[in-house]
Amino acid sequence: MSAETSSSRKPVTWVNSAFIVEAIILLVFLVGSIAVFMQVYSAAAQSGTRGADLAAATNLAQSAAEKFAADPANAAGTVQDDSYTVDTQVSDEDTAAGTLYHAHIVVSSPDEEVFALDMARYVSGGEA
Amino acid sequence: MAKNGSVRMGPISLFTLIAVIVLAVMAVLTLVTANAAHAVSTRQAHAVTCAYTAETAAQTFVAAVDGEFVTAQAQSDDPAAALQALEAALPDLAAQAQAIAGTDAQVTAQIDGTQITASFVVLERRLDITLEVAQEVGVQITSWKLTTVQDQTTSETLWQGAAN
Repeated sequence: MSAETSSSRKPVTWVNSAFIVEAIILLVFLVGSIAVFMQVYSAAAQSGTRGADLAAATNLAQSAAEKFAADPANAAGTVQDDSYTVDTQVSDEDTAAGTLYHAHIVVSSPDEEVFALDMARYVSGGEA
Repeated sequence: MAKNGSVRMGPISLFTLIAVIVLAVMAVLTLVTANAAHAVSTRQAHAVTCAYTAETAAQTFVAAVDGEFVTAQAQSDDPAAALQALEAALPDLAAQAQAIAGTDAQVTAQIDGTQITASFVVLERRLDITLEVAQEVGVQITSWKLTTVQDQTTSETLWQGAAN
């Protein structure tokens, strides 16, 4: 009776050990995979954020440039738009027949400068 | 014993494998989509930079033409002489605009009677302007057109027609 019990329990122990080993291997594999995937998702999130920042900054710089083109003498200043700061620096240069205005437009996020644009607008003496 | 000792993939392993494959596919798709969006933003920013570089060169060119014409008018009362002086100075004015636009740009200008046409090509953006020079009103902008340069160098044959 005792020998029969011993022989019938042996496979069950083997299966339990195999299950535990399999579970441990699966757990390690899953944790490793998730670690790799988290890095990929993190890189994708950073890339997406940079792209969205650049697109928004480009649109803001374009708006500021058109504002400068419409009224170059009064376009200088700093504007806060959501989390972006649009800084427009204007300098003027007298020419033989009018004034040539230069603008340097910088769009910055709280962390860094995202996009910069240079533009010029000529106003002849007759228009001024 | 041989039957009990065989190793087979259990449902938990199968489920984990499917989950990992799905996660991997989603991660790759997310990364590709994010990179594509970033590339589009970069191209948009580059196009805007090119457009405003051409705009800056054109504005500088108009200022130079206006100044040259006013100076020529002050030196001579003859309108034809002022136009001749402007025609002689036009290559230098175009060169100044070229210097502002940079080495990647291409600036051309020509005068036909009282009409000056100039084009400013900065990589993928092209700005064509037309100026009218008149004795009474000076230099006036009659046309200001920004377009995208089409790359015609690479062609692909889509259909060669019927075989017979």
